[in-house]
Amino acid sequence: MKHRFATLTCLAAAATAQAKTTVTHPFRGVVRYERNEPAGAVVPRPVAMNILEIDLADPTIGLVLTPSNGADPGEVTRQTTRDFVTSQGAQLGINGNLYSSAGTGPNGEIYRDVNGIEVAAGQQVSPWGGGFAREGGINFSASNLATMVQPTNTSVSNYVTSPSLSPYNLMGGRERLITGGAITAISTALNPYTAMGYKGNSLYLFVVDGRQPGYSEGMTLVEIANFMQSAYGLTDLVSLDGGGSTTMVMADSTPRVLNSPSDGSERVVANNFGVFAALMHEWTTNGSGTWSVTGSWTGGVPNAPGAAARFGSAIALPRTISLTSSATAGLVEFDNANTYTIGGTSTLTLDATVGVASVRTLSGTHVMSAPLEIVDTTEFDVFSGATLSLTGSINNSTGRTIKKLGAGVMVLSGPQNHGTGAQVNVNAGTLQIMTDLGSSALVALKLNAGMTDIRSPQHLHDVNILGSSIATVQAGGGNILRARTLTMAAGAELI
Amino acid sequence: MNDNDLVVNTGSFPTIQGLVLVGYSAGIDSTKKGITSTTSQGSGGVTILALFDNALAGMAQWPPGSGQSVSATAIVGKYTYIGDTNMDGQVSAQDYTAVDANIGSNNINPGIAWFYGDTNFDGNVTAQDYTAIDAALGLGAGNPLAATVVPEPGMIGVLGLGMLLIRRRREGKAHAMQRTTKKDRDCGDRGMGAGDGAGG
Repeated sequence: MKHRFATLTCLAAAATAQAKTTVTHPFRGVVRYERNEPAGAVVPRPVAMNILEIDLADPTIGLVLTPSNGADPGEVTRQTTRDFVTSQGAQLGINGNLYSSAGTGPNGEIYRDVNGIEVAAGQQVSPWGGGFAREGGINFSASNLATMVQPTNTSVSNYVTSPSLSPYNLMGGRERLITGGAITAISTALNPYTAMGYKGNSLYLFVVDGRQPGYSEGMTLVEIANFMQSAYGLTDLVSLDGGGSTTMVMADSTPRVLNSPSDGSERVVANNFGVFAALMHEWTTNGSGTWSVTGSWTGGVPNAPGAAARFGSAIALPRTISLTSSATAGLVEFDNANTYTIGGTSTLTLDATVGVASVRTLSGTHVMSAPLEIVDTTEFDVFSGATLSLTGSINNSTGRTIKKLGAGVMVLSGPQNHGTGAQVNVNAGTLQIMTDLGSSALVALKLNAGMTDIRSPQHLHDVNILGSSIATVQAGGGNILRARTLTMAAGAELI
Repeated sequence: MNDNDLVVNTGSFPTIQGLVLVGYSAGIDSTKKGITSTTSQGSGGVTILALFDNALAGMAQWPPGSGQSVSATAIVGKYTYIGDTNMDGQVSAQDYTAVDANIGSNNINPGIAWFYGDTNFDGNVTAQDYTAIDAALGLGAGNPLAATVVPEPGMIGVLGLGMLLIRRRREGKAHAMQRTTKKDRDCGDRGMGAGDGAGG
């Protein structure tokens, strides 16, 4: 085993791991899969992989590529991935494409030409011209929409892409491994590799270590393509530089290398790809407790606009996390079969710094009984099979929009206070309304899809039942539906 | 809406009535769109969301006496039996009164037609409108359909005021019809047109 990179704290654990996948959520919208697979599990040899799944639709996610070095020789000034992450203030990074030398500078700078296309924030850095038969790249629009592209002719050196688009953040690579759902990888050389790909809005950054017998012996590009398609469902994947260049960095505190580079130390490469992300504060205590206790969280107590709080795998029984003093978060995420209750009498303010605030229930049945203060439009995304009950009071006096997303069930049963212009939108799944949403008749109920189950009298400003959505007013005779206006699409139902 | 009421403060009566009528079914029918009632469908369609235009009815509250004010231009729907022309949640002999008072009226404003006794929604009050009352007579007796928020002690009185205004225009006709018993009516429906015309 060639664990020569002494600063990698993950190595000891990785060396002893057996067929183990460790899943963590270090940042908002980021899932890390650390896989140590013995021979025969994935390929006929042991491999250590690090995979980052990044939600490109999350408004806190940003992308950055190595910029052009301007008038200096070559296209870029070389840099380790860790230095790149540090200098950019990013949280995640991987090495970029292959490269060639382009001279040195007067102060020890070493310049590189990138062997393939790169565009960074709309600025042209390097044209096509790697000369590989299946050269390709992934472009990210200004809104982070990913598209696999390739040159119109592999013998030309330009910035023309197929499909045609105006590149914004385009990282070129050596070989298209999966293209539009089809395996297009051809290389069968066994190496450490770096790759990037996507399915929908989920970006995947991939590294596999190699050249370290007994620990991780590398994969072929064909193996990587098949594995990433079968295990993660990728529709598009391109390989970047591999060998000793393969590096993945994460700055959950000080930037650190996650993998074990085969050179035994981190290589200084030409270009890099970085991701900006917001730190996820995850509850770590297998027990009930108080929100404000620092030791109960990774990364400290989440209490700031935009802060991300995750209630994941820590508990093995139903637990209550109490707010004994007010707290603020931009994201609250639940993901456990056991019930978390966010209780207490102090207020949890939902306040995003970018985009909208979000409460995501990925699995299980969870309760928010503490008072909620809605400062920003808030998306309540409840995944299929999950339930979120908001039993505490909701103060939406600033008239923001509450959006119900996801196929799961959300229950509103606490006292409601909504200001002028407020909306409750149901875009998917089921919303149960157990309390009067609009005693002040200021809130509009807009049903774009899914089902809404009204179980109490309502005083609403407007009711819009659109598309094929269904609103059911539960029998009982007293659940009188009052609204300023009622609009229904041809396929909608008010039952 | 199951068995609940609907109040739309600035709605379009034809639009809402259209949604109710397209959603009505005398039996379970999950294909129905618009404003439907599973409760009604499950009871053979004897109930419906009976609508009126408050610009014509002038109700101050809904349900009456509930303390819940209602817009002067609201469209109000009460879940009740077809034939419950006075919207007291039951079908009794009193419901014949509206038909008696207004029989022969044509092209009635749909926003008030329910109170006129137009039980078949054709815009006219004819002998055929007795049919629905006959069929439903006794439904809700002792257990009237009503919003559970508040009893409706003032409802009949309030609506009665409106009906009185209607009756004044047809006083002679109304008096004649109010004396008619159900049995008389059952027997006389087929001859009522002639009798009514002779007495009018």
